[in-house]
Amino acid sequence: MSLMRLDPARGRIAGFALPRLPRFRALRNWRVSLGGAILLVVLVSSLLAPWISPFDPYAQDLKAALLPPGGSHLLGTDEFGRDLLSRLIWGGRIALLVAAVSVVVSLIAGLFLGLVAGYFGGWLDALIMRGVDILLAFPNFLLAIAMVAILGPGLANMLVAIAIFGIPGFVRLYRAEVLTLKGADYVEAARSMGAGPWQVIRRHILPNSIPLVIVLCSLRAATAILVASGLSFLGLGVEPPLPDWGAMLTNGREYLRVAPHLTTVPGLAIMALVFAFNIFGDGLRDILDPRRKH
Amino acid sequence: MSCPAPIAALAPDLLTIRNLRVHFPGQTGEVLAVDGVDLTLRAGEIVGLVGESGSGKSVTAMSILRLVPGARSSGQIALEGRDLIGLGAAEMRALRGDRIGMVFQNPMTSLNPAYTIGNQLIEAVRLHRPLGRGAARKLALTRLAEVGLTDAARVFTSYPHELSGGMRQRAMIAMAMICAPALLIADEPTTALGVTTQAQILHLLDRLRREHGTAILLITHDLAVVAAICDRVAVMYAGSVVEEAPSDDLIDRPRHPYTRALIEAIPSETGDRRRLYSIPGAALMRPDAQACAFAPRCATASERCRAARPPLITSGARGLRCWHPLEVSP
Amino acid sequence: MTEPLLRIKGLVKHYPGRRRLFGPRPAPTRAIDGISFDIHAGETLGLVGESGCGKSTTGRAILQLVRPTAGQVRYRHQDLTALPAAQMRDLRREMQMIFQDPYSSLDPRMRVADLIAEPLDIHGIARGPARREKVAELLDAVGLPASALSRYPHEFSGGQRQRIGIARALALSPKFIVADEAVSALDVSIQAQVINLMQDLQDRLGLTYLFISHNLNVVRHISDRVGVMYLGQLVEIGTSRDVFARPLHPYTRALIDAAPSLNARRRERVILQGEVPKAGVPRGCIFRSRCPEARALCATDRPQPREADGRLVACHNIS
Repeated sequence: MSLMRLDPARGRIAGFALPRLPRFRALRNWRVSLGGAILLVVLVSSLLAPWISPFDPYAQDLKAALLPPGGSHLLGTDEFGRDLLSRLIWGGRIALLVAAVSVVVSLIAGLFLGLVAGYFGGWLDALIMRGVDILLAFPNFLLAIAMVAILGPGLANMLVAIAIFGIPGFVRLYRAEVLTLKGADYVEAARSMGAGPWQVIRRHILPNSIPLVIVLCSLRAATAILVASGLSFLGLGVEPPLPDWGAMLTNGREYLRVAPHLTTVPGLAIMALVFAFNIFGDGLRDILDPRRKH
Repeated sequence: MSCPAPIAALAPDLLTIRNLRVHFPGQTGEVLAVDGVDLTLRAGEIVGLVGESGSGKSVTAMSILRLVPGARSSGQIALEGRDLIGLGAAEMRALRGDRIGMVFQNPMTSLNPAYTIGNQLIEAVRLHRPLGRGAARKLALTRLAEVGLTDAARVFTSYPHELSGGMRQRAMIAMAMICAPALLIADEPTTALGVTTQAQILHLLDRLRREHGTAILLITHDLAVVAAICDRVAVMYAGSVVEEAPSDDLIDRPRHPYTRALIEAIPSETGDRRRLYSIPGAALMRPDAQACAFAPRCATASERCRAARPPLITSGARGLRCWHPLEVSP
Repeated sequence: MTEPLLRIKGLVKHYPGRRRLFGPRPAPTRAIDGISFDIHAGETLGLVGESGCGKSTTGRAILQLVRPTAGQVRYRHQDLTALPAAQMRDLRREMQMIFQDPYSSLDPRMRVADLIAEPLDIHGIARGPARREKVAELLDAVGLPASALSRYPHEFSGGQRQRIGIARALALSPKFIVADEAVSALDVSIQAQVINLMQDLQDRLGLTYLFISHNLNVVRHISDRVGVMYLGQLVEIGTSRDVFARPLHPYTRALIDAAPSLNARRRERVILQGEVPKAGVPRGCIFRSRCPEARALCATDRPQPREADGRLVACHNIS
């Protein structure tokens, strides 16, 4: 029948229907393909860093300091003569680590708290949401700074600070989604069939909130990278000599006039990665949402 | 509400639609939402445009206002002798709300929740009439009283959410009638209302056309609503008008199999538990252009119906698009 | 007469007003304000009234989808309102619901096969081949092709979706089904198909329906008995033939008179003035503000349902 439009096949994972990405259709979305390509480049280069980076990122060579891009040092060198390209590749590891840890922590805590607050309501909801309100009352970045100031700088402390302060925003948005989905007719239908709360959550709430979760995760990853870079820029994050894009930006600032590539290169890298996360998430949501299909 | 026919029969043609076709560009080729609609409205007449969802009745109505985003229309729509399809955007805007009023199904979403009813009425007046606020206010209050809002002054200062559903729809009608338009298009104006309120609103529409001579194009899925106030009815199926007739004739003596099926599918008032007449299948989005669109669901369809699309043939007050019309018992 | 399948006694559902920071607590919204009726096994009881009269809430309160504020719902010697949640979930196998909107009541991410099998999965009844067989049987019972199984709801038309909803409601072989405006969102021709299907299923499976609708013609057609609701109260209940042929309560009369119909065209009808008020009244007859026959007594005493002409009517002017 011409009324019916075919829909890509989908697979089942962990008991509920999780849309399987139709390989080629996903790539037809320019956001997914462009964002995915950038993410893939960063991911592969970070994983292969020991093999593909042309120099040791820590190796100093003061004779070759502040070289402009070109020649054997493709992106030039910094004030200690370290190869910028190698540091950029290794730095990708830290950026992705920050993003991954933050996303995983926010996802687990955010999903759980958002579900409990949104679905069950009552005093639990009030308790969770007041906690969230208090955390949200402070600027995200300021709290991370305060936290690092208490715990002391360093990669691990920075990860903790960024991960924890990603939770409240996630909880609030996810709770709103749960409230909407809870009011859906098919949830009432499931209850009328005798489904208990966890059955409803597993069968209906979780699968239908996937598009939002993807957007939240991509936003979270992007924000985490920005905050991490900011902290490192302020000297509160990754400590030297670890290759981190934010720290590279700070170092390069002193040589802005003589060696602009020291700031431009890591700056562009941060921008590209954040941009990639954002558009990738947007595109993925468009593909996964059956209601958005024409 | 008896015998309104004479007024209309003598009146000149107000709106004529000839061979209207509306396309929507789609990803998998064009979708023809309206495929050859011919319709005439005379001043003071209420014409029902009846069809099921997807039949193109609303698109037809919105095409008159040229408010169908992304669509390409062809054919002819003339209001008081002016062709609307060729009209410039500014001229079209001047017509909307002045010569043509519009009432939607859901008054809650078509009224702006942030402004009072009075504010919205005054704005509607001043878009088209060079009146001061005082004069506009006076006109607005008159219209509110006219649509049966006894407490017009209070309604005037109310926000939409402070009114009941029926009052909101009355306010919406007052707004559509503010410039005393020649044509009022009402798209399912009573579908969202309760039965007793629906009866009041239909009664109101009937009274307004008598007092102002406004022609009303009433779009509905409900033949019983048509029976209550319409002078003539056009039945749409899959984008075209399949039968058109004075409403009593159409309901008592349908000649198109689809029209008859629509009538028979309504549970009868004798209330016996017989099986209802039902049309098998559902309407296709894109029927075969070379065949009668109703043929796949029609009990009397023949080879001819599947091979060629019947033309709309007019005789007397009735029009019909069918190769095998039902016999009418005298 | 034998014991009814369901006996509803003094059912009340009040929604508390939203508490304000200052000022007195607002009066509760009386969605259902004390109604009693029986539903007999194998019958179709129609429930009509205008929007906001509480007919949908009544259906949901009977199924305990909203917990009643007061009153009893007796089903086979058990009071459902007193049943713990877990036991009620088990009993839901015997009472199911068909929803108004066939678009929103089906999870857009589930295939038809999983939608229909959802009640089976929830109660852990059938797995593997038995589940497949049951689903195929249900699909066949509602007249959908087997090819529908692997499709998603948005690929179907409204009428087909409603068939999926009906198949789902039948999956647990229930005895009692609440149909809440089950055909109201459908086009006339499709509506007739679904009504016929529901009647066939009732004849074959011995179902009992509570058929809630604002459409008088549909209710008159499908119901054995009909109850008329106004502002949370049952004003009249009796056999469909009696109520529609000789309505006794002034509201029933006004409702039937206002309904547009093909047969009684352009008749001069008495149009009821005013609209359904937002809230009920604590004292007197709820209909008195619009009633053409209201007396002094109607403002002070609430009329109780009384037997008259073979039915129950709540009106002081009927004796």
